[in-house]
Amino acid sequence: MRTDSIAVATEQSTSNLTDIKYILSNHLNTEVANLKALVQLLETEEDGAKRQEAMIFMASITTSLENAVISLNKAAYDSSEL
Amino acid sequence: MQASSKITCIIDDDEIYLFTVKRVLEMHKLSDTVLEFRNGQDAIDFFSKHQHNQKALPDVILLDINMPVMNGWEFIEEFRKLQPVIAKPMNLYVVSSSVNSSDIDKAKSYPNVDDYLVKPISHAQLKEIFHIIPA
Repeated sequence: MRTDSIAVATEQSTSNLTDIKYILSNHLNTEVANLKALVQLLETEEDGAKRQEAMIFMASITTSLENAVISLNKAAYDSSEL
Repeated sequence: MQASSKITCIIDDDEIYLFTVKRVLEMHKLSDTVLEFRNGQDAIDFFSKHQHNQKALPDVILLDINMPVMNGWEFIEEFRKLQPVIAKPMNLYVVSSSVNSSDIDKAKSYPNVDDYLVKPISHAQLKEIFHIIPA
């Protein structure tokens, strides 16, 4: 599940670091798998419209990964303040 | 390329995964029809409704674990109850990005699960899945 998981992680308090790790781990696994699948597809995809669609998905993964990094940074910073 | 009249059922809420798998199935002509459900409950409802209709039922099910409403584990349990009355044998694969050994072991502990595949599924893995389904 990729929808909303980063938003959920960002809202977690530092008392739920285990939850944050679990959510982010799942999310990163999912996005890396999606990225690999898209790269694999693009190696053989000849349909221009489908290539374009795949590129749009890759851009959305970039944004998603950026959000994951923000969440990780926040969790790391908050936990260092405990 | 492999000629086929096979039906695939994908139960997953990830639109990128759905896009890539459907496209690979299409490019390699592995499956004529793809049924897609965003959670386990929608799939169970479909199977219940069409339990006696062989032509509507899939040959292969690709099942995610983490989904809203009804997750993959809950689906497997509900599907086990339905299987005795379903008119068609179906191969069920759990497909997840989780590499957690507890998920893998749990999936393989179900007698009605054919295998656990870690995302992304390669083109070769998909071909293998459809190769072992009788024509």
